[in-house]
Amino acid sequence: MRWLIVKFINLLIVLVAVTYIVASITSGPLAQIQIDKERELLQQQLKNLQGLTPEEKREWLNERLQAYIKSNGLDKPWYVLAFRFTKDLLTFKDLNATLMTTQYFHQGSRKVLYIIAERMPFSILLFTTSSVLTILFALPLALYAARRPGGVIDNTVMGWSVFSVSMPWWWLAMVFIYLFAYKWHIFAGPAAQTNWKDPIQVLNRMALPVMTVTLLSIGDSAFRMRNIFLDIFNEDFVTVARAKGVPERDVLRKHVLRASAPPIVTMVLFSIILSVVNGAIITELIFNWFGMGRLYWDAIEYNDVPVLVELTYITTLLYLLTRFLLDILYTYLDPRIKRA
Amino acid sequence: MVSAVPLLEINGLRTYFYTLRGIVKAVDNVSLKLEKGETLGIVGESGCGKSTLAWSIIGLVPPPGKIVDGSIIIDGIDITKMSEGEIREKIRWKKVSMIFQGAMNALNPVYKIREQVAEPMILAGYSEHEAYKRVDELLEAVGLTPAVGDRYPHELSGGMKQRVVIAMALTLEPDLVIADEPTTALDVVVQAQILNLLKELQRKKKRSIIIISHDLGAVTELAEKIAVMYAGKIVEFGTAEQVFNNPLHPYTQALIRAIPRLTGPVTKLEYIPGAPPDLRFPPPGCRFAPRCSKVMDICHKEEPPMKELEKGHFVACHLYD
Amino acid sequence: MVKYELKKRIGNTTRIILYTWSGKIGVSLLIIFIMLAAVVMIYYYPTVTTSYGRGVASDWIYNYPLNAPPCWSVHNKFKGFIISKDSLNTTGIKKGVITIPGIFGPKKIMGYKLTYTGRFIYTSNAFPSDILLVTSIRTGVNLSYVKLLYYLERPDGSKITLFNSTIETNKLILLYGSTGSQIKGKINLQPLSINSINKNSPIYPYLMSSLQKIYDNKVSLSSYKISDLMLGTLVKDTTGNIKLKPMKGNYTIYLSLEFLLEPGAKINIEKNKIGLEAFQWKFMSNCYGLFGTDNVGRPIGLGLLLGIPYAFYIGFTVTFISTFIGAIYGTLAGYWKDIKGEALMRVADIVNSLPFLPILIVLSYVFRQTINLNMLAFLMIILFWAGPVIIVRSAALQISEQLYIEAAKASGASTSRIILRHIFPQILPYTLAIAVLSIPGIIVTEAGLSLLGFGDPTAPTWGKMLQNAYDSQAVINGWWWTYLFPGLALVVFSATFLLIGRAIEPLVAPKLQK
Repeated sequence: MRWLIVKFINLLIVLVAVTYIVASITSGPLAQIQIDKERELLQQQLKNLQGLTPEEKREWLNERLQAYIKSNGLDKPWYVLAFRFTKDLLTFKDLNATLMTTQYFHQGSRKVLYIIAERMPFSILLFTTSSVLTILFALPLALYAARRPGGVIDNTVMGWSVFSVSMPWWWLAMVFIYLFAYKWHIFAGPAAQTNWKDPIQVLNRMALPVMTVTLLSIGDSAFRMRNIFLDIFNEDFVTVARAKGVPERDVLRKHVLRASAPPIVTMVLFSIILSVVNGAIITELIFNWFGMGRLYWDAIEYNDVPVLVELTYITTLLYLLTRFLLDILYTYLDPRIKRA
Repeated sequence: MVSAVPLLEINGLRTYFYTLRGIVKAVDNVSLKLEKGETLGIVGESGCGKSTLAWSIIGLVPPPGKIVDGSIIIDGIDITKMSEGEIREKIRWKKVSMIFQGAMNALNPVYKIREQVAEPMILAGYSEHEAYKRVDELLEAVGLTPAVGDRYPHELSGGMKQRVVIAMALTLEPDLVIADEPTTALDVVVQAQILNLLKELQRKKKRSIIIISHDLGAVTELAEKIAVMYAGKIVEFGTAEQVFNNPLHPYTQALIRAIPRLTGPVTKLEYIPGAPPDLRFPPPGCRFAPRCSKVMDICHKEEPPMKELEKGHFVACHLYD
Repeated sequence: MVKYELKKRIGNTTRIILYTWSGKIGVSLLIIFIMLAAVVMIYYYPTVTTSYGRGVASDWIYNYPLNAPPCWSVHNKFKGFIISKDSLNTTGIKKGVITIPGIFGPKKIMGYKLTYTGRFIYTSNAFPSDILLVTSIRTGVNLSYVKLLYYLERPDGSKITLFNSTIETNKLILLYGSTGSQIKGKINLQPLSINSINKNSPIYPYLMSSLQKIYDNKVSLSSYKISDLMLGTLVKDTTGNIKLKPMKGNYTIYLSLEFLLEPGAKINIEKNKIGLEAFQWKFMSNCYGLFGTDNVGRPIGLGLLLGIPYAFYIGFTVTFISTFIGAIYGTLAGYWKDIKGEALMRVADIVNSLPFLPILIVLSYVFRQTINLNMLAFLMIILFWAGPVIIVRSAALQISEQLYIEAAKASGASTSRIILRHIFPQILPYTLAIAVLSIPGIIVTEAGLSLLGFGDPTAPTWGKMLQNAYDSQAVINGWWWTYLFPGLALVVFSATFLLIGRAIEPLVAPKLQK
């Protein structure tokens, strides 16, 4: 239990630290946005005021604006401001986007949380599909490669892992889009109009990103799995199992797979999650996929700082939570950790 | 009660490893015979092929190794002619089981002891209940409480693990148990306990045991017969007394001189100069010749044949030509 | 003695690296890359690299075709050629009858005529990628009337008129082209692409109406390049579709000036200065080299070459600095077994669990106005230094438990001495492997940031080339060479270090040697 609490406290510390860092580097623009909003409001009021000279009007506006800045503490130094924004983020206080709005959900809402929420299912759909496919393909490949180290499959796995790690995913995505969408017209390209309610169209649209992400993550995953399997295959208990007369299939299933489950499940899932957090942004951009990664790009394009900040916060939160859950999963799978 | 057929008969066995850098002749023309109820010790430095011999008997030579020539006849059946599936179903654990180095990773870290010990029984068709009951008996027989069955390997000490491994080897009452370095990596007190346990099992159950060790002293305590292996070959074979009290081969003599003694005159503890030969390119003639203190010209040219010098005491050395 | 030891160690290391096939390939690739980088630094740095990085079209389009695919991928090649002023035939100024508009219709009077003709034979099956044009005419003093006729006569006799009207006198008239850079006070006229002709250009209406006449509404003109239409003819192919194919044969460029002198003035070439000032028709080839060119005319092959030192720079700076920091940090964390070490590990844990790319994006977004390669490297170091800490720490823990460390401590050696003399040298091989293996990640990250627009605007990195391809919608336009090759260069470069790293791994972790 103790380790669980320690891990959780760790998670909280990291979360607060990241949020504070992000808030402090963006506190300037965030404060400016609040001030600009207040100024707009005041200018509206100013229109209704009669009988003032332009000079007086300017004075009136400046006075109120300064008062607003003072009362809201927007003139404080950046580290104090950042502290406030951190609190806002951590408590999910309503942040409003400056320009962006939701597109499908809560018709045109400015709430950043809504904007993120409508994108999340898209990302989840894309990356869980690819992750599941990755594991389905990588596992047998890795097993086969580990059973015959130095064989054709093993060398292919090693070679592909070198390529997939040294390759920007989005580059292969561009090549695939050209080949499969524009040259051979097999799958829908990123510019295709997709009706998200039609499963066939969605599948067609998903095909290319899923194919790219899966193909690339297989390289790394299969290589890692292969190394784990190879270690396990060389463990004495596998030979012991064979000596005990356990059929080869059961040796693999009951002994090798089960014993390699803790590192494989956590490491592979973790590397996939890492790739989602780090790779999704550009992958989704290239595929014009309406997910959270794409939202980063949109926020940058629109100069929408609140979206950028809250999105970073949510991404970090999700990432840390998954890491935390994986830690729990590991201890569940590996009895050696339980009482440690 | 000597049966017509010996329990184990090995004739001219050759097990080679085909590595990228050459063929390693780990077991090269080895012949042995073991009667029912007998205990045989195989002694030699590490890397002399004794473990490979054990793996060959159970049909599990790790790749890229292969049995190239010779026969291994267990209870009248030649297992080198059997398929992998047949060996698995008829031989492993039912006829021949193995005691591994428990301190090593012979136990799967993610399963409870009970599950691991019971596994061969369940595969052999016992019900889970029967199997678990027998596991408790076996654990008691090796001096552990049945409660150990509920623990995971990492929760046991080295000695406890070794006992579990012994219990595991006995599950299906095999005729032959091969103990591969059963006491290595254990501290001295535990070593003695384990040896006593093995002795007890041998006495009570009248089971054949092959004990493999680099420790001649430990083996002589247990074994009735001893085979001394050097560089893939058996260089001396005889009863324990014969080999220990009247070692004929210079290698055996050197091994015995290397055992520290508490009694007798104080002599300098000796060691054998040099290292075992590269088994890819064994020296011509006698393989021990480069390290032998009594080397003669012929040793470098001709391989010494196995000769019976006294009844049941064989040696392969040109000294006795 | 120490020197000998070191030599032996380096020798052994090299031998082990070269023993595996991955090591052999990796090291040979590395040597090639280093040599190419040296070539760039000697011959191309900084003039060419800066100009490539800036990517201003005018630096390139006069010498390279736009968006030209690699020549090996093109079936029908067209090799470019130039018709320059020198290759024109001229009649010189001749007295003769010219037609001028009058109140009662055209009337013929005696005047002067100056004619230029340029001939070329078009034999290729393919169109040029573009025609770059410059034409300017000087109409000197003492002229009362000048008329310019300018057309291209095609093999079938049809004419594509570029200009047919009177022009102002006593002026330098730039009919087509741009006033480029001034060289030594003299204005250097640059040709312009006919395909990107501006609607306000004086030749636009003439050109369009003649094309209209030739193609007679059989095809929509806007769906073809103007240069293709100028040289093309409609042909029915075997499937019955109408296609635009080049019209082979003799073409003539015809340019004539008809003029009258002011009353009383005499013709004097020196004084009148009438005639062609600048002239060039440059037919750009439809393919370029092994790698093609991009949308501002930069040759991709040159970019691949120029990117090498930048890849080395960003990869090496970030990995070596961050691994060095991480190694020292990890060593300290392993050496101090008390609360200090624990605290160091906590901090490293926090840094390691940051989601790198999102934070890098936010950072680069905030600093986007001032971003350059050094800053990018700095930002990456801030995020990546903690990577090797865990491995280094566990290695340092093991080493610091060795007896000789205890002995050194007992003999009163200072902490810094123990770390620097005893622990750190043993950690180095680990860190070397970690550093080499992390280079690919750094390079891929830089490319990703470049794609998002946070790259150094002046550095011609492969990431910038990919960004340019992405921004110019190369995928949809089918300009595959603009992103295929930079990506491949990136892959090969990263793979070089991965291969070397994997060859080093057995040195570090003998367990993997199996």
